[in-house]
This record gives sequence, C-alpha cells and structure tokens, in this order.
Amino acid sequence: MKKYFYTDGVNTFGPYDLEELREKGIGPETRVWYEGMTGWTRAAEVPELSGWFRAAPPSVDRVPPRPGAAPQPAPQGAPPKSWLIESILATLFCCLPLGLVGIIFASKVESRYYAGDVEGARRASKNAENWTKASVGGGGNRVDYLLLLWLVSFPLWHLRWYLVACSSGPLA
Amino acid sequence: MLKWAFGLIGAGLLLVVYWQFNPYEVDFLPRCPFHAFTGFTCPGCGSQRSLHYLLHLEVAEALRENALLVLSLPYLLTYGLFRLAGWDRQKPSLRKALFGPRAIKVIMLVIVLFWIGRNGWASSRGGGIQPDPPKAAFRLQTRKSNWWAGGEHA
Repeated sequence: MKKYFYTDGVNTFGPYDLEELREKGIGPETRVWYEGMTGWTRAAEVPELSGWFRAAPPSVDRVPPRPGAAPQPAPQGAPPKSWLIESILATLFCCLPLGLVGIIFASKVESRYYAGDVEGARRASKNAENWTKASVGGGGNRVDYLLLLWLVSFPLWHLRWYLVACSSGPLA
Repeated sequence: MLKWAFGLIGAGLLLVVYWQFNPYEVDFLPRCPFHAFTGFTCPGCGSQRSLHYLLHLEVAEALRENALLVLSLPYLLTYGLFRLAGWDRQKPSLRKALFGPRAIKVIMLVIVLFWIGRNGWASSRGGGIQPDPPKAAFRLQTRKSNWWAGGEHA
C-alpha cells in the first residue's frame, strides 16, 4: 500500500493511504509525495489522484512551489529490523566470519534509515537477514554450500586430532 | 507465539547441553570450520567453552576462552530487553545512541581488532597453525572406551 504525504508549503502531513488522503480534501495544486517519487508533485499530475479534480472548480491554492530540492518527509517510527543481535550471535557462535557481513548490513540499515533512505534501509535489512541466516548454515538456496562446509569441517577436525595423537608417540 | 515457545524450549535445551558438557571433553559439539581450514582462530572460537564456564559462573575461565562473548552478552541482553519493552519506537534517541549506526561501527571495529589481536597473541606465544596438544593428550587419558582402537578399554 502506497503511503502519501502532502504539504501546504510549510508543514508536511502524512503518511496517509489513498482513502485517508481523499478525506483531507486536497486540491489539484497541492503538492503530494509518496515513496519512489523524486520530489513533490502537483496532485493533478499523479495518475491515481487526478480523477478527483476533473469536475471540481479550480481551487484557490496559494502554495508556492518550493525552490530547490523537494524535502524528504522525516522518517517516522523506528528503522527496519537491523538483525544486529542475531548477526553478533552468529559471529560469536557459528565461527564463520560471514556473521560480520550481517553486521555490516545492520550498519547500513541504520545509516541509510537516519539519512532518510527508508527503502534502502529496508533492502539492507533483507540482506542482513539473509547473511545472518547464511552464517548459521541454513536458509535460502544460495547458501547451502555453507551446510556442506560444516559437514566437511567436522571430519577434518577429527583427522587433525588423529594426526596429533599419532605423532605424539605411543598412546599408553 | 508458537515460534516463541519453540525458540525458548530450544534455547533452554541448548543451555542445558552447554551446562552439562564441557566442549573440551566431548566431541559431538560442532567445531569451528574457519579454524579447521585455516588454523587461525575466528572471533567466535572458544565461545562454546566460554558459555560452558559462564553457566558454571567461572567468569575468569570464560574470559580466557572468549572474552568477546562475555563482554557482548550484557549488550545483547540489553538490546533484547529494549526491543521487548517496545522502546524501539518510544525512545528513538536512546535507541540511536546505543544501537544506531555509530554504535554498530564501533562494534565492528571491536570484533575485527579482537580477531586480529587474539591471533597475534596466539602466534606470539608460538601458536598459530597448530591444534592444541594438551587437549588431545587430555582426551586420550579421559576417554572411557575407545572401542574403535581395540585397546584395553575395548
């Protein structure tokens, strides 16, 4: 569901879904923004909103367009899940440095979110999830080789122990 | 809800296993693949032993096995409770300070330094790419029945 914001030139209102926005009674000249748009746009130019204004008389909208770049509405609430706890635990318990990649993406979730890039933060969150699960050895098709790594490393350890035992002389 | 129940039961069982068995003495617990392949220790090597000692409240031993685990557990617990209490949304500035972008960068730096440091520490004492001989010897002595070797304990 798209979330819409609108501005009166001074304050930003939102997020609203389509029905809520309709109840606000915005005019065709009201500047509207939703995630994915490059800047504030006249409501009449937004396809799904333009139908509202056809029969309406021109409104007395005294909003001057803002000079320069359109302001990004400040993110509200909390960032998407950063998987920080899980990736640290994976780094500490699964011994595969892949957990570190999860932590790197956790860092991206946070920094992108606070820079106003909510969509980028969401993508980083997905990546953090994938890498954290990968370092545990499960989850996702592209990481099945990690399970193999675990299975191979187990006999390898025993082989190493056996070699040490042999080279250290008679057992008794 | 079911997910939570299973998670709690699973975590409880794992804790019982790590309380009951010292990873030094048994060989069914997973080994570190990174250590197996490279001979270097990773930031997580020793965490199972560390957890075992922690569960027995032997903090000094736990610190020696993996200091990073001991130090990070309070932080992780704090974050977990923070999330459970719903402060993620209610206290955004505290959240940003404790678990925000800068905090995570510090964490990464700590982990990488710990990683480099412990390997440097080991090789400065003649460690590096070697299994632990005392451990292997210890295992040989304490093994109750080595049925595969056909020895006297068979």
